[in-house]
Amino acid sequence: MSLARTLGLVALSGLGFGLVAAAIRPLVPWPEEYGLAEKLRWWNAHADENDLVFVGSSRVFRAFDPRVFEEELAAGGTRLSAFNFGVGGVRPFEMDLILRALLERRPRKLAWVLYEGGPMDPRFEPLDDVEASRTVFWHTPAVTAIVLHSVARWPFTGVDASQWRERHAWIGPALDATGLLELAWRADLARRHAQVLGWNVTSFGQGRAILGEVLGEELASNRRRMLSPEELANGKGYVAFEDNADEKDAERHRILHANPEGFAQRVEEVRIGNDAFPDVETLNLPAVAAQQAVVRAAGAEIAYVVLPDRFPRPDRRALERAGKIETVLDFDQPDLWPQFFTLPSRFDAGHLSRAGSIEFSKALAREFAKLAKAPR
Amino acid sequence: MIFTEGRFFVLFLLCFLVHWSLRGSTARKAWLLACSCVFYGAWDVRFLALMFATLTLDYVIGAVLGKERAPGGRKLWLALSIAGNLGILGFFKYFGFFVDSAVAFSAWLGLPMSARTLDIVLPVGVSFYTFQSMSYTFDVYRRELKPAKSYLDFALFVTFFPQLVAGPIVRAVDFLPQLETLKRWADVAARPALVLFLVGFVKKACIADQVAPTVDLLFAHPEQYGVYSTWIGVVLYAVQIYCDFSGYSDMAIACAALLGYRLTLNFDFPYLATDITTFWRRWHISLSSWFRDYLYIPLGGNRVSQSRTYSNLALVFFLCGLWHGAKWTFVVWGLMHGSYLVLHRLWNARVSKESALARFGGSIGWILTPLAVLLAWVVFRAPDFGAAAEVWGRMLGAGGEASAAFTWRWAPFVAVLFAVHVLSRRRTLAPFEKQAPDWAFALAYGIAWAVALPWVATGTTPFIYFQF
Repeated sequence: MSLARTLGLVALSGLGFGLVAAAIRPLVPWPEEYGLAEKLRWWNAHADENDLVFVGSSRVFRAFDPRVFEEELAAGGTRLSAFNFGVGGVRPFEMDLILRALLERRPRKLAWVLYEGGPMDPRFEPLDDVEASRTVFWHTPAVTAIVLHSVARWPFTGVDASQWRERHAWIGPALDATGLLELAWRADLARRHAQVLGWNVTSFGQGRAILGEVLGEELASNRRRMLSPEELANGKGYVAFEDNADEKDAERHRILHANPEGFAQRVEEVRIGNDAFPDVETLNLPAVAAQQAVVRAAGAEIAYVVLPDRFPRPDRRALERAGKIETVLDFDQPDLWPQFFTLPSRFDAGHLSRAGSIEFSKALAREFAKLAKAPR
Repeated sequence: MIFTEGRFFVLFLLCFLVHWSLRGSTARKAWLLACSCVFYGAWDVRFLALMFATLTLDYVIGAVLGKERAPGGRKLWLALSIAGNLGILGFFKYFGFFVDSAVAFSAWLGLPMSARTLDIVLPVGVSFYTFQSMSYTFDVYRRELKPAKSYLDFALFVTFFPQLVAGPIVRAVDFLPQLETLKRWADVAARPALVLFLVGFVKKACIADQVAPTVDLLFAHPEQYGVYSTWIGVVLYAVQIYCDFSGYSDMAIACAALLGYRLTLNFDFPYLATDITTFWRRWHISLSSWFRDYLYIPLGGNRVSQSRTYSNLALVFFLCGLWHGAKWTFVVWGLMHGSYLVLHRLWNARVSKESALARFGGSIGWILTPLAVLLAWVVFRAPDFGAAAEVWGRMLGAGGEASAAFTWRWAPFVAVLFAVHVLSRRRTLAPFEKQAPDWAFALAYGIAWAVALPWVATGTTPFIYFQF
């Protein structure tokens, strides 16, 4: 058999594989963990009822109470309906996918997207479960392309160098000596993301999830459901940590309140760190531009919101200063918003308590009212 | 590195492309040896030295045996090979087991003693490659094989990566002659090899690994399950170990075939056997035939008295059990099978083949044989005898209330698997595999992979037989 014929057959085999894999992939359900799929189902059924959606991580989920927000706005004469699309454990790349999924529904009334966003750090943190169905799910070709852009530009630190050298002890020192360590680190990171993309596009290991979806069953692995349909209807996507914290959450709560000095130290670090603006070129500008474009294409406006946190988050203000994003509402500033940096306002170091969330939702409403009234 | 991992696919592709692009036989063999070292070194590079020590010992002894004429001297060299191989196997695999057993026995006698065991790491595949290497010296000793012509050939015979860590246990007499001719791609039956690899992959990654968590639940807490769940768990373990091991063997045979080499068949639908003797002719064929040829027959085989034959069978299966692992549960598993075989021979000896009783026995063999195999799998899989007894008891409906249960869907799942198994024996798809035009085969092969991948159990489970 000639080489050309062999290659032709390999290509044909690849074509058959690709076509069937592409046909299977849409059958994979959104991951249920932390109620992601549940919120999406709710949104798809009720999207047209909302004027505003706040997209983000658990910080948004636990901080933004749409009812308080709506009441505060109504008191100022603005009536709108809001929905909290904060989901635990969402990383900026996954948030990007969620944003597009929400807008795909073409919500008729939607005028505003409040977006948490964040630095598009392409590194897998040590605690990330790279094989988790959720991590695999957001590695779509489009999002992986965004990730790879970050991989090429993300700052390579000394910590990254030493960790990578340690993990690849057999070749790390040699690469270091030849000055190729950074290149190897970026290539390795790209390879890992490409591998997860491969799992995603082939629906690797998702057969049982597909079957469960077809049969309308809940899988045993979908243990981290957070909201019932009633809770979604009543809370509009928000639940205070105090109402459904698990043991780990309670432990973090206990640690925070047992160590007020440690928290004060963290607040000080946030204050100092807020002035350390990153180089905007490392912040994946095409992705940020695309986020804004996709929201505007859906006929809405986007505002980036930085929530009170335990880390400094100066990246979005850096983007605003550089003219890359138009509007940032930054609440992660202890000097401007001291009420969110007190122990009673926090459930744990990184999330607001019920009292903190009420205060935050009111403050956000007031800031948003100014924004909404400003000429655009 | 295991065959279902992405990095194995990369290594194999590279190995395959370079192998077929090299012109000379020596260069190809050197390349395959290098790939085998990378494959084995991916687990623990330190154990490469141990493997080369084993094979060098047997290579040298084989060369000496080729020249030695004196029977006494030949026996001495053979004894040295056996001592060296079993010494390595005994130290790495059984040292702690024997010390612990001696301590327990001493305590049972009322003579408590303490002993310090070493924390020894078991080199992957040591039971396979030592048996393979030993078979070479046995064959040279018996003058059934001439000593290997080159160290490269012998090293590749022992280390050849498709069969290195979990078999099939290849005989030198089958493999070394294959190294004497330059392979041609035109001689490779690529279609059957590609299909066999896919079948092996599905067995391991999509079936064995999918059922493994359910089996683990049963054997971790057998006291929680009722009759149905216990039976299903045990049946699923039979499915798991068959699909795991035969799947690995299929992939090994397929990889070797794609490189131009032929490995021994290791499984031949053992669960469709209607008597226990046939089961052992079809289960882990390379191991059972190894024990037959190098232990059972030298002990006298069937040519000695009946009682001696039975005690030989018991000894062989005692050692077969011990080969699987340094645990008394494996020994009991081996002895159970030894007893089954003795009973079967007794039956054949006492009951005339023409009698109605023999016909009755034949007609219930298809249910008795799998049942006997299932009962033995319980002790093979159980962490200890207490758990095995609990599982056996619950299979019979004994024990307290069940607090957990497996889904009823496992029953139809097993039924479907069984139907597929029967159809596979009839080679229902063979005409397509052989006669379909190239384009149709290529397209169907790609589609089959796309359909299989969603059913892979995520999270890699090592092959069960790696631990043996």
